[in-house]
Amino acid sequence: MLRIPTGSLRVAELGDPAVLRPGNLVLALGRLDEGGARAAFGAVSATGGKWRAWKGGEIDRWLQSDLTIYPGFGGGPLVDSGGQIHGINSGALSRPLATTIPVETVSRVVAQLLERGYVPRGWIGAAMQPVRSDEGGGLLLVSIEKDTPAATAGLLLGDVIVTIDGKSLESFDQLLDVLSGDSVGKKVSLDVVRAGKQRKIEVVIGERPRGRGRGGR
Amino acid sequence: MPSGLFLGDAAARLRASVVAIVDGGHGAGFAWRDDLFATSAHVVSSRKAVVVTPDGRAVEATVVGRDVDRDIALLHAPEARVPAVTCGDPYALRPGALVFAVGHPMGVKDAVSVGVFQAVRAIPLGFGMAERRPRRGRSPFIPWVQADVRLGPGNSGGPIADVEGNVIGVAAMIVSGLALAVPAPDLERLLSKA
Repeated sequence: MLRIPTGSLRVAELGDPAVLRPGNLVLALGRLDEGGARAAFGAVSATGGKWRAWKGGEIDRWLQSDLTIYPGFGGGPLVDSGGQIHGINSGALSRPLATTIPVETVSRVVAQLLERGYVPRGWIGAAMQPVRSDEGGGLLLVSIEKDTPAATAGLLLGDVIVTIDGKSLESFDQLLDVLSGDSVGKKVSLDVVRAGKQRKIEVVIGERPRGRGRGGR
Repeated sequence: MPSGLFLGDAAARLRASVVAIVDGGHGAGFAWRDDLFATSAHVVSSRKAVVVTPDGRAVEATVVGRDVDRDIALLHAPEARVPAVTCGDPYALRPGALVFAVGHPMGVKDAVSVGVFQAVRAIPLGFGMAERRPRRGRSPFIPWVQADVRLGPGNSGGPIADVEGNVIGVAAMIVSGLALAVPAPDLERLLSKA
């Protein structure tokens, strides 16, 4: 996020990406040199529900177009035929497709950045591996760091987490959904299989230390 | 706008002026004026070529002008009898204006692709193409018509036109997906020398 002097540029009019349908005509805009704004022209290709970028970031809506995201067009707006902006284009989030980070995701992240300067992520301080058993799937703890929510709660190496707050847990994405930014400080109840027996363990979700990637939840 | 009218007339008019140029490989070209045809220099490697007209006749053509630096060539084909295009001015277009290309991408005859005009200027940095070194009496930054139009092999030498079908450039290449065309005024300059 950048701050510029108030009133020096007109503020864009935001649209509601929920109204976009495949086939709607759209533009991508960019500014590559001193020659002014440039446009790429195309149509919305596909829309859908929320998804996760490869680094784990949650994006509220799938918005794919047939636009060419030229070098320098990343970070530019997706504009509909009425001139309203529906999000920020990216050629890198799901290469080679042109995807757009929708307005609602941008607004959410902007609010977090303004409030704290970064995007908080929930964290328990353990690494896991998906496993399957006769009863279903779970996440096997393969490392637990000291002085983390997982260690404090008494989780042990080799435990298999099979449910979280009563919901079955079979993939990282399900866990990431629970560890969203507003989960920090919340207590969750885990069903854990240890040495063949199921037990309940409560964990207070912590905040992921800054500067960590997707590894080490 | 009824979709049936979208570019339909302009595209039909321009397609009537587009030919195929056969000289070992295949490219596109178009009737510029008075039996003269424009194409890309890289489409014609020798002095002679064959021009295939929209109605399917193959006629002989002689290369009468060629500028390899600018990648344009002019052919004389008196037997072709193809209506000439009308010339447009890329410098008068605003970014975002609708444009279209006619060519034979992947051998598909007279295919139309639609997009938007971006600029007439040197290629922006970051497109993986080093700017050519300045030479005596030449600008180091040669201008290209830059457009967001999908081109394929076989579009080379074909026209890129504004929404009314007036030719603004000769399709030359694709860089990072961006279509580059030689501005029509440069073609006019070559013609005055030919």
